Amino acid sequence: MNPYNRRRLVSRIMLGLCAASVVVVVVPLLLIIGYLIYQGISSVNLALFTQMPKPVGESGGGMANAIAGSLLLLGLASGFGMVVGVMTGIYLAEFGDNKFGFIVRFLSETLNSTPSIIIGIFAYTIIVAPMRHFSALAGGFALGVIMVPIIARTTEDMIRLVPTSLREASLALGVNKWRTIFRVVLRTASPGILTGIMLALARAAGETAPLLFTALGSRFWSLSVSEPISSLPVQIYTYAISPYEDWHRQAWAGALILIGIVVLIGLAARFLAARSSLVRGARRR
Amino acid sequence: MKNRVEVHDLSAWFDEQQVLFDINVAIEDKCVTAIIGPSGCGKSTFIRCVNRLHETVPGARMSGRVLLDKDDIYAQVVDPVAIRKRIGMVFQRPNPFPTMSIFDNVAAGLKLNGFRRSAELQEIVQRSLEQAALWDQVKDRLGEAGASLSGGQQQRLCIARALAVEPEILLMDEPCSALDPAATQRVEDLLVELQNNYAIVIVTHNMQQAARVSKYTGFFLNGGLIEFDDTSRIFTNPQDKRTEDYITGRFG
Repeated sequence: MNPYNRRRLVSRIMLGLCAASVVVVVVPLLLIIGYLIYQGISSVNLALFTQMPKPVGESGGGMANAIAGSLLLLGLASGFGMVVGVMTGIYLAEFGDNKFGFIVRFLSETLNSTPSIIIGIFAYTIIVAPMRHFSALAGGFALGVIMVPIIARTTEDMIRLVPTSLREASLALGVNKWRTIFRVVLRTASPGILTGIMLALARAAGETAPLLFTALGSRFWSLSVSEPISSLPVQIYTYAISPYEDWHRQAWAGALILIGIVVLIGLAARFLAARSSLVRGARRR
Repeated sequence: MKNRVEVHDLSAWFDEQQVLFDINVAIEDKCVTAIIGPSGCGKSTFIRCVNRLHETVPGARMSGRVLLDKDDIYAQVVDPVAIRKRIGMVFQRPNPFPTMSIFDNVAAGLKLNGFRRSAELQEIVQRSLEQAALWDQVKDRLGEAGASLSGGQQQRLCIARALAVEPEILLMDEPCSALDPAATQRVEDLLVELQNNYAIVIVTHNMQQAARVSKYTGFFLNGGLIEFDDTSRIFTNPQDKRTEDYITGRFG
């Protein structure tokens, strides 16, 4: 075989392997979404979004409390996760080129790979146990802790992508370092940082384990941060292991809604990333 | 004529590497002083020591004294941020803020420091853009992104931005090296105008440019100031052999 044909053959084989990998990645996701739609779509109706769960034995009802609960938990989580995560990212990018920064970065990555149930136990220990009851606050805190390392990491990366020339332009105008960081660097990096926040939010939206120890779940309407609160993942879990056919159907519908929320957050992240010239520039490089 | 800036025994380092050696020079008011020399000779580091930007680079340090109107800008009590307001800088590559409009780019130095009086801002922005010979081209699109301008326009935008904070000294680090000849011409015309009000220091690779715009020229080589004199003398009758070799194109 001459060298040209050989090269062409190798190229085709490699291309084929790449295509096969793409299939392996994409097919399970499509199967999951497809099966969820197949099982869940018939049970998705207005009542699911507007009505409360019915007592055991009565059919119908909805998941309004779980949807509202999930949104409240995610709100609490982002409040905590964004502030701590973004500030950590700023520290690591601007002042973190030392031993302490290295340690923080390492711990943050360890936290990122810590099983979420352990984070749930942590939140249980420091919030639920002293308060002597489960609460939305504890659930939001647990989800926030999950978001922190993701946000810190993207914030650091995005701030490091801001060219030195922009910082120097600002400093040379007689703007001090803190204003330069907050009003020039952070603003330039903000589309990328928002993308990171969205990804962290999508991750937190699907977490179930830490909520079992913290927000617990509830069959009642509540928007109080000091009370146990319902959430979509926990509601799905409860319904799925119940013996009732009607609850099973609602669990499928709930799962479909949950993945819909995650896809929407992901799309928002994509949209924000596309607007970020810095992220685009980074890809080109 | 009055000297605005005096530099005494200035040396500078990046970590352990010394890049400037005992520079002594004075910058005169209301004229252009050019700094020439081959790449890596310390020209940029020199002017970055004059507005205390050098020290913002991790591992960078300096020794010696830089006097602005007889006051040492490196004295303990002096705030580098205040010095940078008095000594403006234009960089080699146009670096407008990408998230800001043309208007906000020019107003940035004031707005970022909390200046809010919008009627005054309007005036300052217009005056600065007029000084930078850009007003007529952008007056109808001040709300558009600064990055939407051409390279030459962006550089004049950066000049306007530096002028808006009303500095007393203007440092320019090869301001034309990323520009085409027509844009370079416009920036040079601008320098001739601006020298009526400012002391200007321009670092340049282009010896013709130094000869065209400056009153004094300093020649740097390997971190040392080899020769400093009237521009006409540097280019017609240099005292140092190395200066002569450089300006006649024998190296660099």
